[in-house]
Amino acid sequence: MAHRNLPIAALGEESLLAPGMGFTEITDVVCGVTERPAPKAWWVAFGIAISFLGIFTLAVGYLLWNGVGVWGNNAPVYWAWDITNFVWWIGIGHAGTLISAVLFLFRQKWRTAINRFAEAMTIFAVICALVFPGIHVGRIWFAYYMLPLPNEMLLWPNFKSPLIWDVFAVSTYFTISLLFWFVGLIPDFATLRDRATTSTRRTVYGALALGWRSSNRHWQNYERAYLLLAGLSTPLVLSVHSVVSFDFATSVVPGWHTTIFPPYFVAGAIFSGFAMVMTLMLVTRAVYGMTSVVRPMHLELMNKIILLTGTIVGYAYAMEFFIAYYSGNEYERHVFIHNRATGPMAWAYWIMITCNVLSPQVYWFKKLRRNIAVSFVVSILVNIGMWFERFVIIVTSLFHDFLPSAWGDYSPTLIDISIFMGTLGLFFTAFLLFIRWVPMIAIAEVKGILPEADPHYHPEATEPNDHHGAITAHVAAGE
Amino acid sequence: MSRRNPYQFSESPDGAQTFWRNLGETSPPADANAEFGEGLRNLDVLPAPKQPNANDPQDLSIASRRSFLAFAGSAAALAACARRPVEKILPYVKQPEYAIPGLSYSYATVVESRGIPVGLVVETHEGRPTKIDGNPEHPNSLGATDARTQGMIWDLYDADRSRLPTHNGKVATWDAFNGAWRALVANPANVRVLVPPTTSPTLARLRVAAEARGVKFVSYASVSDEQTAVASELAFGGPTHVSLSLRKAQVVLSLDSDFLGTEPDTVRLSKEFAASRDIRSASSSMSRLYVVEPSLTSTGSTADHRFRVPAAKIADALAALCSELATVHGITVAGAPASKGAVEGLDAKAIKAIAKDLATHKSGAAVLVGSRQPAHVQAIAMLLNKALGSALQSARATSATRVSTIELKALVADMASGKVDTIVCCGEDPVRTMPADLKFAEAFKKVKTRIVFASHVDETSKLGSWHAPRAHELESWCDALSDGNYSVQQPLIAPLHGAISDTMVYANLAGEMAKPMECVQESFKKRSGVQGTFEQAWNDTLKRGIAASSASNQGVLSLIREPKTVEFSAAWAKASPALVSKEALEVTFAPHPHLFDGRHANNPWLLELPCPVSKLSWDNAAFVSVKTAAELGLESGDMVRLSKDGVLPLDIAVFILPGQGDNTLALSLGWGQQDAGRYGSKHGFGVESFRTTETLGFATGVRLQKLSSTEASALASHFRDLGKAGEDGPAFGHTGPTGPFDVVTGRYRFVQTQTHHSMEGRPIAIDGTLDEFRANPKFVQFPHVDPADPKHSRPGAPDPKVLPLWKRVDYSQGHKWGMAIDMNACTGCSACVVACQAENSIPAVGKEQVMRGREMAWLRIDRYFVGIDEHDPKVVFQPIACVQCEDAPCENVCPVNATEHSPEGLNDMSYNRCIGTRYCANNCPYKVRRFNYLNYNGEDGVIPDTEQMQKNPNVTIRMRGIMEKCSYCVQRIQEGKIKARREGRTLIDGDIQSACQVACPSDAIAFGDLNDPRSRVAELTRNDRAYRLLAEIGTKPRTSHLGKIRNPNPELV
Repeated sequence: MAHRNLPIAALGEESLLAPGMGFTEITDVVCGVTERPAPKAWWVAFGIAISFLGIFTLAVGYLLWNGVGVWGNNAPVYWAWDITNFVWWIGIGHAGTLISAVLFLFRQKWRTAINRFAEAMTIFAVICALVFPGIHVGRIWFAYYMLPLPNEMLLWPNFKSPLIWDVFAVSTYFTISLLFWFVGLIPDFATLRDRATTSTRRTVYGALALGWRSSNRHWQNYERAYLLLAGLSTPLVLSVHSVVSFDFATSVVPGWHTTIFPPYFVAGAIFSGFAMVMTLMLVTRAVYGMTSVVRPMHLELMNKIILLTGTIVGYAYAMEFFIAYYSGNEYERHVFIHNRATGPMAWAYWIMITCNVLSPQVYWFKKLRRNIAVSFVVSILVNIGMWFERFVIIVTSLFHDFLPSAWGDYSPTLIDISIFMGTLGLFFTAFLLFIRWVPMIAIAEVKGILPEADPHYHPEATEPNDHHGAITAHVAAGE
Repeated sequence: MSRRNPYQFSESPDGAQTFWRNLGETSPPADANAEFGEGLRNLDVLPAPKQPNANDPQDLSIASRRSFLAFAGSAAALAACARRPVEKILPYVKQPEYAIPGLSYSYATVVESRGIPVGLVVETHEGRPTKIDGNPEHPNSLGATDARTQGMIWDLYDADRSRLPTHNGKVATWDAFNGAWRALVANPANVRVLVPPTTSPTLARLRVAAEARGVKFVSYASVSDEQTAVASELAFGGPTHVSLSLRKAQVVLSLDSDFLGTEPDTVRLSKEFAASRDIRSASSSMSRLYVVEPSLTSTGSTADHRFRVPAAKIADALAALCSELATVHGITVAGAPASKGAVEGLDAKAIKAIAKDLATHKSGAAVLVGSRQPAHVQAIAMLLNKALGSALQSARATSATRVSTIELKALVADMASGKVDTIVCCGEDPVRTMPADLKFAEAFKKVKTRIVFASHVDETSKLGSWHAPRAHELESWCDALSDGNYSVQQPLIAPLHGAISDTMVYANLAGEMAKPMECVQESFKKRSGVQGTFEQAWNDTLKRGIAASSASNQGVLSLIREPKTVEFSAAWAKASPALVSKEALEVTFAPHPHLFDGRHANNPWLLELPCPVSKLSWDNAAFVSVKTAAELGLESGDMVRLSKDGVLPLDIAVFILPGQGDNTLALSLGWGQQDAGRYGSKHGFGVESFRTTETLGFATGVRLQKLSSTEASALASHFRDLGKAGEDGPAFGHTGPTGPFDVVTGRYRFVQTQTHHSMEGRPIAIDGTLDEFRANPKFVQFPHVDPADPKHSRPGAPDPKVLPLWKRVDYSQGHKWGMAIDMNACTGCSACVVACQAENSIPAVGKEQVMRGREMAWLRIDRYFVGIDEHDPKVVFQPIACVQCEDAPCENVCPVNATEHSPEGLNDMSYNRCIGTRYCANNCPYKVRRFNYLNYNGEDGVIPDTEQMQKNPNVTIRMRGIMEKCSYCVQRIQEGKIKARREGRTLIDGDIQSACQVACPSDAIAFGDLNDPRSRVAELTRNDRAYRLLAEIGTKPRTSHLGKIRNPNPELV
């Protein structure tokens, strides 16, 4: 009979797991991380991350005490690093949702190795992103005016404003992502509970497992809920960053006022998110020796997506430029030619082009797609490039707009830099705590792609003999 | 729509207008010495003065009601909730008669500015003057003011004004000072008094009385018009005030005269000059202005032809012109010297063309020569106007006192030789400002008793044996007389801190202990032509601000005697030919357009107000031309050492200014005071010490040496660190302190409010020539484009339409507020900017924040350089504030509805709602929104107590994190509507005037109801020259700009 979880060697498929990985081995490898003492590297990383979190706390405190004037934002650059960081973090989050929801619906089995921490990354990235709309407003103590709370002050949000759309888009996104992540975690928490050797672990993981008994009914409900949440999350992958792009696209500012933004932003978000997943995955894999679960094939598949989205982004850059020229609008032309490609901020534009468009082109070569060092370097470059993309969009559009008399310049202050570095601290602190205490790989799902998980599995059968099974495996391998 | 009925208030019982009620009317008789240490007690809002604390120089002897309540509002509440202190509002315990809380009253007064009395109307709220405007009935104001006069209101409340007398540098009690002063005035033997020149009949009368008691007065002003006074004597044979009326001018030639900027009587001249260029239609005519000047000024920026000629060569230019007029046009000026040929910068062709233009428009022609030019040059110009038959020039006898260098020299010699026992100084800070060769400070120290009345503890006060606070013009009784116009200066408020007015000083020295008001009344009684009873005439004068008997034709002179041609022929002969080259540079001295001679040096509004042409804020500089800078290897911000024989070298940073004359450096006075106060200390460069009595206006033969960055950084202690919390300015910049020099380049950090000076070919500030305008009156408007033939379009199309996203609002009913700004009239003087700050309580933010581009001024004047010649560009000024778009991009993007449209089309800000996302400002194409990045109204929301008194109570003070912008003075709109409704009538044009409109000395701004077809704004909006800035975006601005028209001489194009 068929066992559809086996790769088809004739098609060049490889196993998604290292040889010898069975149910027990997977459970041991993943749960072991949370049960053994943390390795030294974890402590070093955690120490650095929490220091940055401390800087973040101090810098935000200083900001709130004195006002946003401690940033380099000025007139006409009213938004700068604050919104750049917001869009960058939100974008990073998108890869997690794409991996966990979209690839789930497409039955891409390779996702199981990375979906858990991609989702965790989403949660933490969205938290980091949410910091910025919160602290960038002048009077944070009135930020609740943005919510449609019934009140006696005749206050009601302006639903024409894309910032209000943002509030709903991002908060919905955060809620769904959190639920999705937690629902996926329930069976794994139950595994940890069952393996618990101390009463604390048993109590905490027991509470988190919500009474999971692995009964057939539990699994049925779980699968259904997971599918529903995946279905809910899928449109969010497209909508959230489209809405974020509306902040710019609906304005009159030359360089912002453009219809290409929603698809361009979504592609950019997935691009940057995959790069961040890649960065995190490579480090974690090395530190925890997850080589048996995260295989070179995973790198290759992700790098293909990076190549695709990077090229889409490159196309968008070219198209923006072309339309600015073709429209004949002198303000648009000025933004692209004199503000971005040349002019005082050209360095930022060319960093963006180099990192985002040129660096992923190495992935046309299979050898480089599977090279860990190359993957790591490119993922870092893409992270940098995508930060600069947002910086270029925001700052180089604002600093020279319609009236030359009002043109300005921009330079960040120490507080700008501290808060950005601080959000990295916040992110990595949360992420390190996550890999320390939560199964970083979806145990139940990885087990589901083992050949043994197939109800028709026969240990004796070495070749798939079922035509349909072959097709399934073909798709599953992501070819 | 239902409206709430306003409260009905009964009019005052005598039925008189409550407008311009004077303080004297309700003033109970006070003791003779009321102004002296005690202050006027005519309003109950001022609590009785308390005994000053001798140990506390900050002691505020007279607190306002608000500050009293602030103290009463409990310090605990302030400490507990720094963000929003609990405020209690209490009613008057004893209601002053006719004073209705919440209603403002306006009073007429007058201040003297460079020998010209400027009539003012000052708005007060609950006894606090808050806003200065011009008096429309006063001929030297005509309802307008300049930027400095607008800023004067802040000086009144300067928290660093001296509050107590000092004795040998230590704080003294009033009793101690009064004792010393009374002893002096009881027997004023061998007393010299250094006073500013004045036109006041009262002071003249008291002066005569004092001189009879052995007191000798010497006039002194650091910006003196001595040469002009001498010139008028040379030309007209006696003490004369020569003035020009430009209303009917056709051709104006300015030789180094910044008559629209820093010269005397700029307000009136601006008004008249603008009228002579008021282009309503293609058939109307306009005057032509030629400017020959060494440095780019407001006047030069407005010129149709501008020639860059060093100040030392102006005499040669005038001589060349006179000889051209004599030989070609037969117009001879007695005493005019022979021409020395063409002048560099002003070629023979130009001289020919100018002479021809002047000779053609004889009666409509005028030649102005700058007051810093030698007397014989100015005299020739006065005679030239006469020879031309110019109807614009008039000369009237004057009794004003004037500065005489000979007298000053004699005084200093007497002081140095110990012949003077006592010297009394009233203002002017002579120790800082006196020409270097007089060595005043050394002589001053040799005088035994040195009494210095000054608003601040200035350099003179520090060397004085006694210093006492000097009253502000708005706290003093005085009067002024010029060209037959008599006006009374009445105080708006009791002298804060018990300051003493000049009138008091004069009166005491004259042996009179009468109240200053009585002194003025006595002079008033002595005036001829007073009609009716004294009471009626006096009250009428106070109400109107100018005496009814004033007549503009009073005292018109023909010629007292023949011109003293011999004298100035001798002066011409004596004048040595000046060489101006890059080895021997020329420096010119001019009062700063905003700080003047430094009297406003602690005024953050005026410190921050950018220089009209350079847009430099918080600094002055040595302006250098592009060419000279290149030749000498200078960049903006380089420190240089200027040296000249006879004076100490001057270290100053250069700033490259397009339009500056080659080989000549322009320096402005008033800056670089080391101890001006919390805002003004150590800003800019003090150049006073580089002047001598011979070179008060300009000096030649100056050597320039570039300082190395090591030498420059050694001077750092003379300048203020930027961004040091609490020190840089009122803004309290919270970024780390930065030195005055750039760390990388070592150059001095200049800040400008505008850093890009080209329009990049965009249709922003549209200008054209008169011929272009006549050929094509709608050249500023959008073109009709024929799709079949897009190459040929004709202008005059309506503004482009964009498809509406939402239902259009119908504004055709009710009021539709709009504004029209005539760029043809604007001279960049910036009076409107300060008026807006005063009216709308807009803070200054400090140099470091300006460097970050965070200045708060709602109204800014954009200055663009036009043309391809970077050495000599044309200039266009474009005032711009919120244009109140009907389809405002800012409104859609605000998430909290903090900026919304009113039914009258105003784009209103609800400060309470604003959370500060700044999205609106990003989406504003005009970048006219201003964001409170920090608490610009003071640390933790606490403004110095006196500064609080200036704030307009009808305008909310904005805390940090709030967006703000021009509201078209919505508080004035509401006030006007309520007033009209209360009077049961409909609004008429002029009932409501925006602050900028009132202040503008050239009538460039019109505000009103666009639905009223007869309103001035509607008329200007219909003008062919009107266009809506950036209307192509679809914003539908309510403000229209009117294109600038230049009138070049066809022979010179």
